[in-house]
Amino acid sequence: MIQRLQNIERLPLAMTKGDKFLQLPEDVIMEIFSRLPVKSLLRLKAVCKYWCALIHSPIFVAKHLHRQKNKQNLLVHRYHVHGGDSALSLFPDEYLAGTSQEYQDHIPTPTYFSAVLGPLDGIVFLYNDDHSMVLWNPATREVKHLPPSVPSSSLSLYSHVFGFGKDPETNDFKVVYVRDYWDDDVEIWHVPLVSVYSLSTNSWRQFKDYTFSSLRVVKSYANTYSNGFYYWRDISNCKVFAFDLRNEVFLEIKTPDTFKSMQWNLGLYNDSLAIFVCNPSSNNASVDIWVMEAEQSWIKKVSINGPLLNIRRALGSWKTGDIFIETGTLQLALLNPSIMEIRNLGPRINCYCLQVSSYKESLIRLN
Amino acid sequence: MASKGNLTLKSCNGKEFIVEEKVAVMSTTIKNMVDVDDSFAQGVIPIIGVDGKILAKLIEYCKEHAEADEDEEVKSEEYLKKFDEKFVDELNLNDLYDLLKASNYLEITKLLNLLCQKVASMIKGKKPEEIRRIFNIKNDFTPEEEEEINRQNPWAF
Repeated sequence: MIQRLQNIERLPLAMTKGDKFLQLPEDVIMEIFSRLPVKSLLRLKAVCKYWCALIHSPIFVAKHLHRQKNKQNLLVHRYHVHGGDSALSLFPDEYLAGTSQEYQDHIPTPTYFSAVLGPLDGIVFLYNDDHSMVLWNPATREVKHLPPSVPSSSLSLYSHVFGFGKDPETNDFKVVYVRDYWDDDVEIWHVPLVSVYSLSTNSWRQFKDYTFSSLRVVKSYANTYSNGFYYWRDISNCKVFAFDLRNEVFLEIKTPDTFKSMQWNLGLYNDSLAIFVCNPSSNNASVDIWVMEAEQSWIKKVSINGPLLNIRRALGSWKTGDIFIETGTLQLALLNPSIMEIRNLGPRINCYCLQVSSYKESLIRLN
Repeated sequence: MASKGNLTLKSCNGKEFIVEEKVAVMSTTIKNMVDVDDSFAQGVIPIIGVDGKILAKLIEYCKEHAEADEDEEVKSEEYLKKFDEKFVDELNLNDLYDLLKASNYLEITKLLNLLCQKVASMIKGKKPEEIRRIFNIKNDFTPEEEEEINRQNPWAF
C-alpha cells in the first residue's frame, strides 16, 4: 500500500513551491488526519489526489478506527409502545443531547427492525420487516444490501436468528443466519439451515448443522460479538452458544449452575463477553456483571444492590464504567456503580429501549 | 564538552546547545543513542536535518515538560496547558512543518501529538478550497474527477 501511495503523482507536486505539507512524512500526515471526524475526512478527499488515496488506504482506515481517543457516540434502538415500530438513532454523546442522526433520514425503508446487530468497527447489520438485510456505515452513510439467501424450498420457516462479526484474521465482516424449518407433511423439525455471508466475496455459504438451532437461543439485544465469536444465551439459561467466525462452527460454553434460576442477558463489558444478571425486585434490586475470562470461567466484576434502585433491565456498559439501564418507568439512564447514582438520559418518551451501544465512526467501505 | 549530566546537541547548521540529559532524553531517538553508545553522552550528538532555530524551539518545549515531570508543584498541569497553547499559537506555518518533521524524527511523542492536534484543528470544518489556500496545495484533479468526488458524499460539503 505504501508503495502505491508513493506512486500517486507525489513527485511533480513536490517540485512546486509552497507544498511543504505534502513533504511531511506519510505517518505524520496520517497522525494528523486520524484525529479528524469522518465527515471532515470525506471533504479532505477533494483537496488533492494524494490525500484522497491516503484517506482510502487500509492502513489509514485502521489507524483512524483504532485511535483510542476518538469520540464515542451512542447508538440507541427504541421500540415505541404506541406506534408499534422501532427506530434507530445516533447521538453525539451519552447525554442524548444535540441532534440525533436517524437511520430513516438517510435511506427510505420501513422503520421496524427485527434485528440490529453491532456496531462493530463502525458497521451495523440491520434486518427489516420487508426481509431486506443491510450493512450500514452511519458515518459515511454507505449502505450495502446483502444478496438474498436461498431458503429451503417448500418448507415453512418457523424461526431464525442472526449473528454478526468479523473473521479476526482477515477482518472480513460476516453475517450468520440460522433458520429452522418445520415440515407440515411429516411433522418433523429439519436440521437447521446455516447461511454465512462474507462481505469480501459478497456471497452466502450454506450448510446444515444439528449442533445449533435458532429455537434453542434467545436473540441478543446488546452487542455480543467479541474477539472472533458471536454469542447467544441458551433458552434454558444454563449455557451460552457461540459462533466461531473464523472456522464457521458453533460451540457451547458452560455458565455457573446458579444462573439457571436468574434473569440475565449477554452484553459486553470492556469489550469482553459478560453476563448481566439483573434482579429488579423493589425491595432490594441488584445488578451483577460476570465477565468471561480464559477457559470459559466467569468472574464477577461488578455487583450493585440497593432498595432504591429503580431498575427494569441492565442494557450494557459505557466507556466510563457506568452501566446503561432501563428504569421501571421506561427511562433510559446511566448508573454509576461507585457512587450509586442514576442519571436520566434524554427526555422520557413512551418507548422501550431495546439497545444502547457505544459507537465509533469508521471509514470502512462496504461497496 | 558537556559536564556530567549534560549533553551537547549540534544542529545541522553547526549550532551547539548544552542541555540537561533529562531534557534531551524527552526525545526517544536521543535516549536510544545515549543508551546504546556511551560516546554520545561524552561527545557531541549531531541532530541531522534540524537547524539551530528549530532545535532551540524543541529544547524550549522539552525543558518545560521535563521540569514539570520532575516537580508537579512548580509547573502544574494548568501551567503546561497554557504553555502548550502559547507554544503552538506562536508558530508560523513553516516552523510548524519543520517542528512536525523534527519531533517525528526525534520521537518527541508529546510534542508530535500537540502539533498534529494543532494542524487537525486548522483543517476541521473547512472546505477543500480553504484548506488548499491555507496550506498552499495545488488542486490536481480534473474537473470531471472533482465532480465525481463531490457527487459521492454531497452532504459532507
